[in-house]
Amino acid sequence: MNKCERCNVNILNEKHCPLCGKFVNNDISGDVLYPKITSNKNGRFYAVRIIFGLLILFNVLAVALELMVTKNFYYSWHLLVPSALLYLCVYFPIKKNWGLFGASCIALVSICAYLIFLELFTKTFGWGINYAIPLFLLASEVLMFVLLTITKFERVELQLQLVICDLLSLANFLFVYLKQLIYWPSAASLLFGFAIMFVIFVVKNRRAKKNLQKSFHV
Amino acid sequence: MAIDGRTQIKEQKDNAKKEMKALKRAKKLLDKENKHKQKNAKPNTFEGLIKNYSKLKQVVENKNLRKEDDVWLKLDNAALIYPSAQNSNWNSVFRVSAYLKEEVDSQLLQKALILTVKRFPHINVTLKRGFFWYYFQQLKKYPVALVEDEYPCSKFEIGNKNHLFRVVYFKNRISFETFHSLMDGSGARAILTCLVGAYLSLKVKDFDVSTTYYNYLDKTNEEEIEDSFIRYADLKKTSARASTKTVQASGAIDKRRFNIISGEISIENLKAVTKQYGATITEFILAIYFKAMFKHIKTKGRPLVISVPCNLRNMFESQTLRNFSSWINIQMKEDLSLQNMINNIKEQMREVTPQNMMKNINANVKAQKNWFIRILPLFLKNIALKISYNIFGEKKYTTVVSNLGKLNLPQNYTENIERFDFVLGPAKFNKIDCAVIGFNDKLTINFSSCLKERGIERDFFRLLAKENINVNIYSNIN
Repeated sequence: MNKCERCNVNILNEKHCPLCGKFVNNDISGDVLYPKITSNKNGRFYAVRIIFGLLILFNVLAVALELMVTKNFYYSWHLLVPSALLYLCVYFPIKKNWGLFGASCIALVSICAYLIFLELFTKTFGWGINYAIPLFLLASEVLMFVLLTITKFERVELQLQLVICDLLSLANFLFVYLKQLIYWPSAASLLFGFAIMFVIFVVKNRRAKKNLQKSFHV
Repeated sequence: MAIDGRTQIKEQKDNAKKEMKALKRAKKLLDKENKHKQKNAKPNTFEGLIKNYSKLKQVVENKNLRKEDDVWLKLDNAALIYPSAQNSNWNSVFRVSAYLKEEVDSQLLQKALILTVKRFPHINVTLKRGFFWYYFQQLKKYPVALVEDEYPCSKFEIGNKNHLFRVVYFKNRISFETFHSLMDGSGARAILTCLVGAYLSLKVKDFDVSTTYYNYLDKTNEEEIEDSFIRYADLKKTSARASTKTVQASGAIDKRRFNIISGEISIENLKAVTKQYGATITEFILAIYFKAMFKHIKTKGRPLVISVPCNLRNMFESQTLRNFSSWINIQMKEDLSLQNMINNIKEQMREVTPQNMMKNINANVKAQKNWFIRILPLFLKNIALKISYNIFGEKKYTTVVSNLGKLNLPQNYTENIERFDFVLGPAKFNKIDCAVIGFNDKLTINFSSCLKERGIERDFFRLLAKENINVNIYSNIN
């Protein structure tokens, strides 16, 4: 331990006085009190930030190029919309540190919105709303059911996500039914969703009864 | 005869075995009965049933974290502001550390941490968003003690089932860092004492851990997790909140660093000096700090204000380990002589009375209980609270001096602990903060700052040295 003559204080673990920077000739080999910080904990976040920065740049260039060459704004939609959805599905949940429920819900809604966009864009109305969206929702429900079974119906996030799936299926079914389109895929996804909900309800109910019996010795 | 003898011995052996088996069975039955009695030891009264339903009780009685159902807990009154005020780069964190005389054994620390969490189950929680308010949800996992590899008080990743505190170790130091919503300095001090006690009981032979007030052997007390603000608030009484415009320390900000400069002083030495001025240690530190700040901050005609947190447990009877502190803003308009400054501070410190502190409590609880605020959804509350924190929060004072006081621990603890540290994390607007803690004959004054300049700290310690106080400096600046 050496003394800094300028500040009139003893310096414990530094070669230089932390207050004024004067060299104090300390032997600090065994007296380091704080670790050297080298690791970049936010590396993942910065990487995502850089990728999205490049994506925005790419979008701007593509729009400019299309406007310059074709003097029309058509194909750039194919870049802009997926980029916006990627921002919503990937960057936003990472930035906000969202959990599984938030991230997967926004992904579900975004994919549905993208399918509708494709349908409207290609002017081939029917395939998205009739088949693609309900079948996608059905696949999500199956996946969620499998995950719920593996986790013994304990993950609340998955249950909430299933509710979102059911609501989307219901909206899809109502739309298809009212517009008198092909409604068997949406009916299948809706029925399957409600069937899973019923199974969860039965399992949870049994479990709750058992817990009550344990707690109060009924 | 020999055969008879052998058969007798065999019979005796068999009988002994049978007796042993019967004894074991009886013991097992007794154990079972005892367990059954313990399980059924719930009061049969209506009140008892309601108590058993209450979430608070569930938190206390949660013995097996992995099998327990989801349990939640309301945030206390002071805790409500911090989740709303946070942003992507900042949330309110502070640290208390204990320096042991030997290097920390990570495995024993992990065991000690689990014992501590079992003793204080209310800290094993994460923060969740409800529709109207944030709430704590109990976690089914234990925290892990990690090697220190970040700057002190780095931001907590809240949500995603993360703990709201962390235990890190480096060489001979055990640090407990926590998000302010979970507890205040006194709570953190109690938990660190328990953690260090548990660690020492595992490390040192015949270490009597029960000599301290907070130790892992005791049962969890319900009063430790109560919201004492609600208990003591008197909403019928009028509440007033005085506020003045002030200035902040300015300078070049080092965003990637968080500088800590600590000064270690002998309490006896300091007391001898403060006696000459007729001041307490806090008053003396405040006066020196004001003097140092006046040299470096352009006041623009506004007063410098130091916010001093006050432990309400000293005024109101409470055992809570959650937030239960208020504050007093000490202001100084001009650079006076040290003696005059101390007299001025003394005059202002007289306002630290239960009645005045009650005003702060009443104002906050009144806002929390306001029906209009209550029915607002959380995202709207967040906007309102963030704006109010930005306007009425840190901007109403220049800096903070938080004095945790002197830790009085029994001899078996003092033999194994070198000193304690208390560090305030980076603030949202204020660039520099000061935290004080005492242990044995050592008083540690920690300055935490995100400024590149160290003028205030330098002049503070130089002024102390000028008063013939011997100061040992250590820091994380390298």
